[in-house]
Amino acid sequence: MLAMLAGSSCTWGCAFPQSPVHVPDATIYDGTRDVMQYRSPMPKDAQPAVVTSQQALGVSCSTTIAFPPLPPALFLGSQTVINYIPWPSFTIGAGDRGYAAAMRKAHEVAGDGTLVDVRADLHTTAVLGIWRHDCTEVHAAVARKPQ
Amino acid sequence: MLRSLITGAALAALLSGCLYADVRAPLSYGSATPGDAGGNLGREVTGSACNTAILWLFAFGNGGYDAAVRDAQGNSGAPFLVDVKADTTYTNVVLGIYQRQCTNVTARVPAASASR
Repeated sequence: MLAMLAGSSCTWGCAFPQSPVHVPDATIYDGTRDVMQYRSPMPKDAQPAVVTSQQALGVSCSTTIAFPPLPPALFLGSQTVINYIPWPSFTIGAGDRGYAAAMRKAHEVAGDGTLVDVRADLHTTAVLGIWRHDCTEVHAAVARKPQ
Repeated sequence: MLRSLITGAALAALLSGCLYADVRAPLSYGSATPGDAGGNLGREVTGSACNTAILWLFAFGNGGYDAAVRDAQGNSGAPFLVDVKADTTYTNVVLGIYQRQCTNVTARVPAASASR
């Protein structure tokens, strides 16, 4: 019984991360930071600052190399199709595409302004399913105190 | 040896599909509420942004929140929109030969007094 428990512990271990981040089956190295959750300030949170027409953009990225190719899941149901690929892909991933890094860059653009109404998108560029570049792009309106 | 390796790589790439992709997908957006506009809401506007995939091989487009919101803002001059509803539409023709996914936003323009 003990041997069985030890055996199952060795084969499975703590293999599953407690996060929604997808980890490919045959990961060689993954050192990425991904988005989790962000509730941005609203225009009323920035008062007495007034929302201007200025927009600030912040981008943070991570890169993954996979072989055999691992196509990106771009559309509804894509991940289901990818799960049917009969071979594991060996992957190496690195980079910080978290909200914090993206917002830090947007703040550099905004200067002393407050960022509100933040829209976050995922920009994926992939070539042959081998090279993949995922970027978190945050676009925000800049609120400034009236002069 | 090298030839078979290159052939294997090319075959694997073709089997996986998606030779090139450059798309933007919506990630998160906590839109402004009517309270941010002082309760003064203007007209309703709509906007959309789309990604397209053809023959499983190429995917392109900007279907993110930012593009959809900018499309909705249009010429309104409003720095932000309130009460934003986001939906997605998906078109798939014959097993995915042609796929198009759009992010559609419906929102209200805030009154001029709430923004500048």
